[in-house]
Amino acid sequence: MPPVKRKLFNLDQYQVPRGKVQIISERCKGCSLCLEYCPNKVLAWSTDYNFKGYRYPVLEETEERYCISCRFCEEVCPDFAIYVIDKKERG
Amino acid sequence: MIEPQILEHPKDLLLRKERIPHIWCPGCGLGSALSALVDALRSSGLDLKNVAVVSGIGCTGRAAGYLNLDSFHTTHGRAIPYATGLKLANPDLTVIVFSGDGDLAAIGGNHLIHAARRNVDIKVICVNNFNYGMTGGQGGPTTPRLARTTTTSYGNTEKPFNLVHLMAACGAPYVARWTSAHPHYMKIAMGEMLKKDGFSFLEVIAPCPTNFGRRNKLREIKLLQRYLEQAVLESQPDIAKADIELDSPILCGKFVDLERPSYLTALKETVSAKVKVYDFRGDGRAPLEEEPVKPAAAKAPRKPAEVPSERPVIQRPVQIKLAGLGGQGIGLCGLIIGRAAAIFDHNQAVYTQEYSPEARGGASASSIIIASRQIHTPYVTKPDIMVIMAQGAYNKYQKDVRPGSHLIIDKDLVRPKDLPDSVRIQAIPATRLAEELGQKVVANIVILGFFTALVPHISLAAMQKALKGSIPKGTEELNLRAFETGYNYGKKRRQYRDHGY
Repeated sequence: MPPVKRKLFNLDQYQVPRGKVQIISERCKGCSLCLEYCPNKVLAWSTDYNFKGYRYPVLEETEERYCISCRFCEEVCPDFAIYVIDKKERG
Repeated sequence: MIEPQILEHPKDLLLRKERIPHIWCPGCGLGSALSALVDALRSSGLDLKNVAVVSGIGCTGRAAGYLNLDSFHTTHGRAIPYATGLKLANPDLTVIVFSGDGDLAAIGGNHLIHAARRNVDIKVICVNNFNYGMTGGQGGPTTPRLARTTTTSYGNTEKPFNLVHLMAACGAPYVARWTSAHPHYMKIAMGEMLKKDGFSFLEVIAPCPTNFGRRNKLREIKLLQRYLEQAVLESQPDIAKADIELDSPILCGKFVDLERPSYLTALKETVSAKVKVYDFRGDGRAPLEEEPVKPAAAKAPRKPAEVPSERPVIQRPVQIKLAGLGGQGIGLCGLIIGRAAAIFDHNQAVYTQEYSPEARGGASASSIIIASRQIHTPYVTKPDIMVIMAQGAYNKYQKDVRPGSHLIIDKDLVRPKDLPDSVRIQAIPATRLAEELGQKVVANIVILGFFTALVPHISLAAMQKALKGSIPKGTEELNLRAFETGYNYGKKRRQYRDHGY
């Protein structure tokens, strides 16, 4: 993420929601839609293959890039292979 | 390979889980459309016992079978007549037609326009992928001008249907269009349709990467990215400008939303008081026709052939079975082996194929029998050599692996289990090697090279000649490199050749 220059004056009252991505790897066909759509780029390709011989997405979170629970991946996935559950804020 | 996890997807409630993963290709827009429909149904608050989904034939037609609702998989093009019948017989039902452009606009075109004219209260979702996807990518009534398909290899010359304009002209009170790259808008439109009283029509522009995309040089995800770039979103789009050309913008949005009494409402108002209803009595049964006996095929006279010096002599017919998932090139692999044996080694060969309906990802197999004398049966019953390229195919064809046979597998993709001890397994990381060469698709050629190195029944020269003649122009160099990689990998295990059969 680029450094933020301007800041909302009441930013501290808002919290960025956090989500936890769940991947059903056996259903994935490696179409790469979730990787394309993810706004925070928290997904990456697996090094392994699944049952059908496709690489599937795995979660790769860092301090800056974490799942914000936008559920784009859940909406766009054609194979019902990925969904997001809301995570309680860590504080 | 990983162990299957037990995860419950929130959309599983509306799906027949035992049928998932579905057969649609990676990158196909149908899954997104179905997913949006599931979302719309979940958030609509409808009693799901009163929702019925009807679909016709084609890739899209499979949708009815994946939804855990009352569903109907009907004959080709007749989804709308079935749906009309459902709605008229039980007006409490919410009837959704989920079908493709080939089914709704081509063979069922007449039903579509008349249902819109009558304003029957059904919700039609037409997934438009611009071609007949399941049958191999033929051009249809929605194929844009200059697009290439199997039947329009120089570019389509006909003007395609503008489906939204057609539906609006027929009087449909709700008409919208979205592409499958807009799942959120699609979901909203479907939610509006479920609330609407009257014929509502949603066109979903979906990519068909396997057929339409491949022939128009937009493979895999590129086709969807193209649609996303081409799409123009407007709040009040002009329907006359909604024509779809190959390069022009695709106008998306809600074109028509007006109130018009639906067929049933109008019927009740005008005729219900005057009509007397008779019970239908139908007990006529037609006798079944006997199937005509097929005449036996005439035998072709056998030509004496010149015998090359290095030709391998095969006394007993050798049965070979190649299995993998559709798209891995199992069919081509078998064809090359057959050509090498029959044309370039002057032996005899028989080649058969079996496959499931999906264009990508279904277990498929090709079987070859080679021998020096005439072969009397085309069917492989006890394969001497099996080549398996994916776990899905292994699970299906594992029963065919008999004791004492040879099994060639892809090391990364197949985990053999429950095999007789006397099976000799040879493994090669074909997919990984192919990825190192630059393209995953040549994994089958890598395994073909490996096969040639290990199996004594086909000469190297014949295989190379057959390979050159069977691959598309411009890919010779990559394929020959892949073949060499596999061959060199296999040479290290040459001792296998000395076993004999």
